[in-house]
Formats: sequence, C-alpha cells, structure tokens
Amino acid sequence: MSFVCFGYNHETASVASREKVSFTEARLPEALAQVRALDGVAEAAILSTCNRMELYLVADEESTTGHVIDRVGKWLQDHFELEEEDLGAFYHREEKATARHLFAVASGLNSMVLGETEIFGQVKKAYAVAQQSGTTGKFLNRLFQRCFTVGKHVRTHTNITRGATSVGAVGVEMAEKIFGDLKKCQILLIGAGEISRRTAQSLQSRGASAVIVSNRSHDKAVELAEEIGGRAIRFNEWDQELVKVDIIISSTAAPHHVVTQETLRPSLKQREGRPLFLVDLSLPRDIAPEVKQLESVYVHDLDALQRLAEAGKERRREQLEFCYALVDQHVTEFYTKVLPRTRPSNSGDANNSLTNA
Amino acid sequence: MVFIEFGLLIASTIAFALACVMSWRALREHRRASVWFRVGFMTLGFALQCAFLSLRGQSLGRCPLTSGFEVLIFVTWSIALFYFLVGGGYRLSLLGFFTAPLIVIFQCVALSLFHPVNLPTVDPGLGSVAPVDYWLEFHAALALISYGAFALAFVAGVMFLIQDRYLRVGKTGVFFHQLPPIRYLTQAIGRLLWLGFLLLSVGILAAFKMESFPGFYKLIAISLVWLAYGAVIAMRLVGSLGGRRLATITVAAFIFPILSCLFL
Repeated sequence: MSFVCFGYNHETASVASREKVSFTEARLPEALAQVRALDGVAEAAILSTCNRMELYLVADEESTTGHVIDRVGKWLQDHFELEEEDLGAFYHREEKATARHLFAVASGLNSMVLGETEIFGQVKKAYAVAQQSGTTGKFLNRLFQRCFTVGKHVRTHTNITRGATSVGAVGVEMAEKIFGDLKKCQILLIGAGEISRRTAQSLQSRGASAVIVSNRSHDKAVELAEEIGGRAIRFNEWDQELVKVDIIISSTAAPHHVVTQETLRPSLKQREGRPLFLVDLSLPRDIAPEVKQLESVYVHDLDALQRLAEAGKERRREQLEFCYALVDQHVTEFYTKVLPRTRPSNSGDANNSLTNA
Repeated sequence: MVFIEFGLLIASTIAFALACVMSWRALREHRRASVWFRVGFMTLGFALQCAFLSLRGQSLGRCPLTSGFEVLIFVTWSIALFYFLVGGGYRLSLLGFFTAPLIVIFQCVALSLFHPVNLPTVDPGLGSVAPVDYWLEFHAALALISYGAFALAFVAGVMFLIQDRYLRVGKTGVFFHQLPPIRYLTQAIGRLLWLGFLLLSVGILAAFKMESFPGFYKLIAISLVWLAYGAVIAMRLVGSLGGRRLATITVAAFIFPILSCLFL
C-alpha cells in the first residue's frame, strides 16, 4: 500500500487551467467512484477548491505508484478532455511526501494566503464526501484524521494564522485592537465606494452592528445602506453622528480634507475619552494628517494599511520553517506509530463499502 | 525557621524570574506553549510567597508587616494576587509579561534588606513581638493590598502606552498581537484605580481606630498616595481624561506608593 497525491494548485496552474479541471460538489461522488474503479487504486479522495484540485490515493499492493499516476493522469485527460501539455501543471507526491503535503495543505501552509483557515474546512468536506461515497479505507482514513490533528496543532502552536494580510483585514484587526469586541461598535461610512462597502462588511462579519452611510449622492448612500443593512443620512449631517460612532471609514473623491481637527474637536468632549478609529481609504486623503494628534483618535490611511498587510504576510512567512518542522514531526510519528498499527486487508474498508453500496 | 523562610523567598523570586524568561521566549519564538510555563511559574512563585508569609506570620504571631523587608514582600504578594484576579477576569494577555519583572525587582530589593539576625520572631514567653493591635494590622494590610492594585494599574498603563504607540504609528512590533485592546486596558486601569482607592480609603479610616498614633510621616505619605489617586479618579469622573492621558497619569502616579514605602 502506498500513498499518492496527484493534482495542481495555484502555484502550478493558471486560473484558465484551474477552470478546466475542477469538480463541482454534486459530481464529486461520481468522480470518486470512477477513480476508485481504476486499476491499482485501492482508496481515493478528491480535494477540489478554487485554488487546487488534488486526488489522494492509495495504490493497492499489486500496483506501483507510477502505474497509479499513469492511470489517474489518463483518466483526468479523458474526463476533462485535456491536451497533453495541460498535464504539465500537475504534480505528484508519493508516500511520505503525500502525507507531508496533505498535512501542510490542511495547516494552510500551501495556500495562496499563507495560514488561511478556510482550507481546513474544505479538506474536512472532501474527506466527508469520500467517506460517504465509500472510497476511503483504513489508510486514507488514518491519513486524513491525522491531517486534522496536524492542522489544529500547527494553528494553535504557531502564529501562522496571526496578523492580517489584506487591507480590509488589517482595518478589522486594528479596530479589534482598539475596541476588542466589535459588537457594540457603530460605523460611519463617509462615501459609498466599493472599498468602503467591503471594509464595512468585514467589520460587520466580526460583529459590528450599526452602520450609517453618508454620501454626496444621497441615492447611492440609500442604496448601500439597504445592501448592508444600515441607515443612510445626508452628507451635511454626518458630523452630527460623531458623538455616537466608534469607527469612521472615509472614501470620498473629494480633492480636499473632509475630516479635520475642527470637525472632530467639538464631539470629542462629549465622547468622554471613548476611542475613535478613522480609516482613510481615499487618495487624496480625506482625513487631515493632524487629526492623529487628537487624544483617543486613531487614524490609518491606505499606506499604513498596506504596510501592515505586508508586514503580516512577512510574519507568516517567517513562521513557515517552524510550521514545517511540526509537520515533519507528525509525518515521522504517522509512519512510525500510526501506520504500523494499520494492517492492510485485501477486503479493505473501501472495498467493503463499494460492495455494499 | 528563618532560613526556611529565606529559602522560600529565594525560590519564589527564581520562579518569578523564570516566568519573565518564559514570557520573553514566548514572544521571541512565537510559541504559545511558553505562555503556559509562564503562568505555571507565576503560580509557583505566588504559592511560595503565600508559604513564606504564612511561616513569617507564625514566627511573629501576627500579620508579617513589622519591617521594610516584610512590607515589600507583602506588596509583591498583593501584586501577584491582583495579577491572578485581573489577568483572568479581563483576559489581559501579556499582563504577566510586565508584572513578573516588577515582582522580581521588588523581591530583589526586599531580599537586599533581609538580615536574618535582625528579623523579629515570636518570643515563646511573651507572645508576639509587640502587643497586637488588630486595627493596625487591618489598616496596614488594606493599605498594602491597595498598593498591589495601583501596581497592576501601573502595569496596565504601561501596556496601554505601548499599544497606543503601535496604533498611532501604524506599525506592529513584538507586543502588538499579544497586547489586549486599549478599551479593555482603559477599563482595567479605571477599575484597578477605583479598587485601590477604596481599599486605601478603608485602610486609612481603620487607622483612626488604632490604639496608637501611626506616626506623622507615615500619615503624610499615605495621605499623599490617597490624594494623588483621588485626583486621578476625580479627573476621570469629570471626563477630562482620555485613555492615553489616564494611562500616562496612572504610570506617573505610581511614584507615590513607591516613595511612601520609604516611610512605612
């Protein structure tokens, strides 16, 4: 019995290639059954996301991994009507390298956004579908169950998920570092642009409830307010909300500063020291630089947010070595402690399941 | 007995020093496991402090607040006590990172004042070293426990100023991700100030019930502490203090309890 991984990811295949070879959720069971029926394949699971498509296979005792890779490659070619050169984007891993790869994938180490956690759920789902389709057996079961342990271990014992890596996420992170729980935070959007909408939605996804939208074109403000479940106000009224709001996201196309010390100062006394977080997403800037000097006022502009996002990416990259060391420990443990306890059986779980199905 | 007490104190100081090392390691290597070691060493240090104070109390037959050495140890014990109360309650990560060095410094100063020969112990024939005035003990204990609250407010203030700087400059340094949100820190500072102030107030009121006059300088020193923190709380109440100013003043105000220790 040998493990094989065959597939592509965002690093080896372009979006156009990735579009060609992907499985919809509805078609996965059928594809799994076809792969499992291939000569030499004892167990199979398919992980298909927007950034990768990987087949995790166990070759039966009579077949070599090379044979299985050939068979699966041919099947993919037929199934998706691929040209020979399309297969150039595919890679394969064998034995320990397969385990190492899956553990790294589940830990987010192989993702486009390093350390992202969505992949963990996607791997879980892929395994669940394969299990329900009866194409996994003792070996893949152990491998996948182990990869979930590794994913959790890497996430909790390293800082690979720590630190925001996009402008929107940095805005949210900064807000959380000021306010903690965002549930009671009120947001004021000055300007109804796309980037404001996205940042507001990011904040809402972390609990921020009340959103007030103000825009020169009131219709646009109403439209956005309806979309995100907020309240629209006229552009000349936003300064009346300054006492209540906690976060201001400004993204107007004004050629001058919209928010200045003079606009904020009257409200600061009534705020009784409550912090105010301003996010300036426009260029030229909406928020006058001297606003930063005000007590309890925090301002971040696009440059600062982008710089922080880059720093976040760099910090995650620095964690890679340590993360892979953990992954390698788990691979060794898997091969020395888990696999020896897994006795190969000719009938195999997968075979039984398929027979029963 | 004195040497057992001394050993306990040394061991406690080492435990807190190890907590400092573990905190630093956790930060440098980004390993969360070290955080648990830090909490473990802090707990051990606190337990050893409790054992020391208990033995000292038995030796004296009263609350162990009879010398500058004991006063300092009592203050460090109350700092550790508030660390466990506040750190857990407010989920203030990194509180231990800043608290442990403060405790180590205080205990090292205390150890430098330690003279086994001069250390008062109970005389089996006479009872305690001096007749026990329970109001005096109540007054001294409450006043020093309030110092623990002020010390933690000082630590939270330092944490606030570091986090505030990160947020203003728009850079994330070693502490950024571990430091708590500034709103929580502001709340913690405010509550610790109130708690310390109330304890100190009750402590001062208890002094009026004492059998003997506590001494002019002592009274002036403790009154200045009370006035200083009372002024901070009053400024906060009238709303003239934002988070940064509150943190700055709280950090600066800690000089009053420190200086007052010279007169206790």
